[in-house]
Amino acid sequence: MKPLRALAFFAAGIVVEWLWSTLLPVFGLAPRVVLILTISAASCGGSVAGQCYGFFWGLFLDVLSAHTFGAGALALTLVGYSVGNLRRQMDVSSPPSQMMVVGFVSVAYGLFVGLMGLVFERHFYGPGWYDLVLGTLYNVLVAPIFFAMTRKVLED
Amino acid sequence: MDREKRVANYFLLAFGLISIALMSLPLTGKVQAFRAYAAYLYDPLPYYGFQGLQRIRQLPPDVVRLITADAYSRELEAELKQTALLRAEAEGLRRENERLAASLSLSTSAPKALRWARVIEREPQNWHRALMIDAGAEDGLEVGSPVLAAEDGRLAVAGRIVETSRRTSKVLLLSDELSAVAAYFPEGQWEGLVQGQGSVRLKMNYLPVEAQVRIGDKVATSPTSATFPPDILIGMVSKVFERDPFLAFQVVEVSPAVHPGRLKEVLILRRKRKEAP
Repeated sequence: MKPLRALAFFAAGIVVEWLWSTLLPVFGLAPRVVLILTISAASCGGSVAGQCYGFFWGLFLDVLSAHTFGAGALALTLVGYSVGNLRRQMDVSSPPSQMMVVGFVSVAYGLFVGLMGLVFERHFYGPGWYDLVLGTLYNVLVAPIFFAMTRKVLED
Repeated sequence: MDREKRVANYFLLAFGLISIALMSLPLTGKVQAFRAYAAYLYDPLPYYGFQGLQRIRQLPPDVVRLITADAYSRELEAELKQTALLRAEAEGLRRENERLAASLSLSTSAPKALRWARVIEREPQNWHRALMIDAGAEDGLEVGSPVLAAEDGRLAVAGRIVETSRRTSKVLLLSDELSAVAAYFPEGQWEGLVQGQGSVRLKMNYLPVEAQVRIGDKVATSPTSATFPPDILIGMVSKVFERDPFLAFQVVEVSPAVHPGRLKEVLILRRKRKEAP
């Protein structure tokens, strides 16, 4: 039952990411759902779960993207690993702390993907200022919802 | 180092190596294949998601269309009821007309039933002369039944049935040399006889010498025609021949309203079977 639930959670992450970015963008902005879910999955299930979800969700983002195939997978794997390892050292149970973690990781993620583009394709494919600031803000605002949902799905 | 951390490190190493390989070797066959495989696995979710979404989006217009169709259907139903009334009136008038004509010893044209049939065969050597259709004696067709065809939304004379078998019939086209139909100009009332010439063009003979005929004048079946109902379009005058001093009538060439080479479906007028009194 657990693998099935994990698979459903994984598929739901992709569907919600796609739906939100397709149907509900506000001024062209949508939250990076799979990034928030990777953080929340890693904080709930540990670094192995976080890396697995992160790697395959990252591949999904890479398939959609036209540049640096593999950058999203590596970035989300690192997110899963880092958050999973640090979850005992930090408190991610309250919404403000979740928002802080998501805010910090969102900026780091954007810069890392851009950097990977610079290294492997000699072009910085990172987010512009607009996306970096407002996109991160959007991620931060919706983070508690996804944390609550992840907890409900993975911890039941 | 606890077990979970060790496993996590192995995963990081594996995923990291794969990711770096994907990024650093983007043009190699294996990476391309992996990318294609990943796309193959991931694409169905957005694709079917989009399809489902489109269906959901399409739902309100479909419901509106359904409601509109229902309202339209109700209107048509009401109209149909009126039509039934008109038909009953027309039937009453027809019977009255038959009774009056019978009392005056006038012959009336028998009521006709319609039957559409498809052209199933043509003989290449007689392309403009005859064709076979997929209706026969079983469908109530008889030798001599008039055959019409539609082109550009109007009905015109095509020919007549010359042979019938159980399920097929042969139609002799108006363009055949043996075909002829009594015709007239609906505008000028001049009468003549339209005959086939074995080609696309027809000839109209026996027009009175004083008849004023112009190119483009419409030619229709005459009320005196024994086979065709009156005022069915035959064609348009395409050429007026110079008057022959040795002939007591004039001749014009007629371009048929339906091209005999383009016939795909025809309409046969068959006699309606008399209902038992």
